[in-house]
Amino acid sequence: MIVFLFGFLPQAIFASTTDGTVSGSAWSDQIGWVNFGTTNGNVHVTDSALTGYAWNENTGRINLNPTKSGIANTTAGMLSGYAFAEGTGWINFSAIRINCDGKFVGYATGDNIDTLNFNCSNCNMYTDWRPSSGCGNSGPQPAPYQPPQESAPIQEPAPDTIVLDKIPPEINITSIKDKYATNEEIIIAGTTEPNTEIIVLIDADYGIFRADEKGEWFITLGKLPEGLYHLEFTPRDLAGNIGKTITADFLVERLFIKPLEEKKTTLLPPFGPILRQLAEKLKPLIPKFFQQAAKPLPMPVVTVPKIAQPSLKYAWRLLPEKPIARFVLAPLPQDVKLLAQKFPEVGKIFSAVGVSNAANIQKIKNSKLSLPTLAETAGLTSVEIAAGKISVVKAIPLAQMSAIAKSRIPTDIVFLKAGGGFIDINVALSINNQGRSEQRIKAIAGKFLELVVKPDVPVKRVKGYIIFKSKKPSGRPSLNVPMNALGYSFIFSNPNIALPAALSLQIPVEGGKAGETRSPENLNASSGEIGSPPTEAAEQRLVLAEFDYIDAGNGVYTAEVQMPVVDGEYEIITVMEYEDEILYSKEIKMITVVDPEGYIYEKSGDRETRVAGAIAALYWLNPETKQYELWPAKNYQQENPQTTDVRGTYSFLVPDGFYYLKVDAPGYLSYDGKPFEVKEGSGIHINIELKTKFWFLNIVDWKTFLLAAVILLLLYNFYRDKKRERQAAATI
Amino acid sequence: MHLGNIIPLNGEKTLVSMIVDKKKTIIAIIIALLVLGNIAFAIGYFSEKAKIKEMQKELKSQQFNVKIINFSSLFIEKVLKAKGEVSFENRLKLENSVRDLDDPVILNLWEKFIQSDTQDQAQEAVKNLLEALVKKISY
Repeated sequence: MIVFLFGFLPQAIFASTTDGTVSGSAWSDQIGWVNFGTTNGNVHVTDSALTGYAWNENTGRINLNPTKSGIANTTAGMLSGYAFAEGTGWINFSAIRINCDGKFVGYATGDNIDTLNFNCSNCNMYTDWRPSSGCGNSGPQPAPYQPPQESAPIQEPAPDTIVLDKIPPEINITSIKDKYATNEEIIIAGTTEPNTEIIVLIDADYGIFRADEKGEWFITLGKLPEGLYHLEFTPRDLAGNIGKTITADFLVERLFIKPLEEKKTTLLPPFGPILRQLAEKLKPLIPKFFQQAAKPLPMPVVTVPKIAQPSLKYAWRLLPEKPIARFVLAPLPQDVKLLAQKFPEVGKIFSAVGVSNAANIQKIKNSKLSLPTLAETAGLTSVEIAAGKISVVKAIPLAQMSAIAKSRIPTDIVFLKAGGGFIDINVALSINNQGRSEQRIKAIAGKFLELVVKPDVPVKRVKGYIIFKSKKPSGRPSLNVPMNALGYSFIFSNPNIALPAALSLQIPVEGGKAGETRSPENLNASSGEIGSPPTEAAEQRLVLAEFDYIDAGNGVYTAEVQMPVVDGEYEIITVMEYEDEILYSKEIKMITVVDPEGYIYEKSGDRETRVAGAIAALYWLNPETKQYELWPAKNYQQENPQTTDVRGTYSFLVPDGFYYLKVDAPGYLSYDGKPFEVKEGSGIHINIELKTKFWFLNIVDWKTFLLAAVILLLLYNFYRDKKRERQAAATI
Repeated sequence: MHLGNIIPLNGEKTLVSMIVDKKKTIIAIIIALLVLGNIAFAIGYFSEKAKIKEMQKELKSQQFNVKIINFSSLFIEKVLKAKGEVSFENRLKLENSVRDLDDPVILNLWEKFIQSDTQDQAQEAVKNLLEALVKKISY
């Protein structure tokens, strides 16, 4: 068996002449003849290089082996690299090769010369060096293939010999015209070895195509403009053998050749179009056997210029640097940066996930980060969560905090507490679509929250506003806002008070600089009349409540506020008015989602009936005893258990931990909920359905019961009739 | 000899005529069923044909997407991430690939890029070409 190894084994190297001399000249339209065969030039070709000096009357000596480059050669005669001359600059020899006869073929290109042609009719540049591969040279035969050793796993019968394909492919042109018209496609056909790759050179353009399995090729070069064209076809077979280049010349003239028109029988209207349409429709139904064989179409050959276009020369930067740099290297928004500075934990998360600039802030857009609580930031607790161990972050009221702990509170951040200060509410941090940070909390309708803030510089006063943002569609009727609360919204129609809202557009609260100063014009304004930026219109917002923060000592201010009774999205705005009049007031915004209280109900059809007088008890997992116990609500200024009113509502504000709910109501089955975990200090407000003790009676009403009784009586009647008939038949 | 009453009474049918009538009815029913069957098959055939057409359209769009992605990837790898002059083989690959798309808009933008005379023109052409490539992907 013969195995052909095309390109899989390294080919043997057989050079006929390892150091050849060169004679002859090449032509350039720009500089004229370049002589490579001068005595003093000493041009030599070896298996690895072309060396020496060529001579040109106009530019002088051309160094084929300059210091920074040189012309390299391969055993196949493929040249590459650059020559150099003072007058011409660098000359690229990469498109030149030495064929099997020792002739130089191809074009060299240069900085100052268009082409140096080695193919012209009078070009006769030869060498006595011969390519050792790809020309079928006679040389020592390769050693016969040794079958693998016995130990090696043999999948196929071992071959006896290897025959290397060393025969270069031959190429012939079978169809070409001397003249083509400008409106005519240049169609050329020929033959070569099967599947041979053919490099076509048409003046200054290269193209590659492949012959088919029979070795036939049929190409079109498209329509070409007027002129004389020189074609070269060089075949390269699958084994890498390069065949002899064949050339052809043709002329493209401005002639008009009428395209051949098919003879069509003219039909009288209106039959003509109808019959033609019918013929088109019937075409797919005619068996292929009867159809005319489709004419083979020539393969279009795509050509590219020998010299790469400037855009592909790696001379330019194809991607604009400035906008990319602007996007990638833009710093983090100021508010986000400040948060990372004030909370080292947040900074650590940002650096861990690679949030260092505006471009990658989107990484945390959908993540749920929570800011450390007051107790955590003041260093009062250390969160230790070990396997099998439950650790509870314990908060303490502000009044019990030491001066040192208070000094550790980060400035200009609003913290939230509940349950008499024993519960710290977690503030969620997120990034909105504008790339700005948003602080968000969840609260229960009607519950009291304690707000804590520490201004960075002395303040005259700290005020707070609860502002309505949006109503979540809950399907419940909204409660009336008290008239006195509504009255506050009128305050915002006054330019004096509308100021903080307007300022927030210019000075981002979370990211605002503490030392933001007013303009001198605004300083002229009287106290409280801080000039709002003229370009920004005052925002229209519905203020539900206004409250003042009280100084709790050590520069810390607190305020106790009741959450709105209507569930929805609100904004708590804290405005700090500084003692130093040169400084603008600062706003701190916090989005507050107010959830409704939980309620206890009984389902009757599609409706829910609230259960009054139900006792809702909350049990928590005591980490010390590891037992569920009644949650000590008194420690958190709350009640447990809670008795529901006519609305059936209840709610608990609890710290982290594991809890479950138990609800008892007279006339109802007792509800024992499943344990659940509260990860953040938040409210428990689950809606609980109670079932009556005789719930099954609700399924069957008196009408259904009556119908069933009638059916049963009818069935009994039929049964009695049958029985009577059988008895009568038996007696007969 | 009394032959009996072999002539049917008025309005009555003989047994033979009754059998013939029955046969006719059966044949009519069979023909009707066959016609209905043909109609049903014809409807099925045309609906399937429409489905095949739709699927071919979808397939064509998917194939075009693949071509676009292949060209984009080639352009990014061989041109935008090039470490030097784009080689002759790669230039040919790119030319073949862009022509294989058979999209005049992309071909025009590619040619604009290739024929750029300045860096700014090339940058603009790259942006336009990438934009067009992304927009051409259908999903």
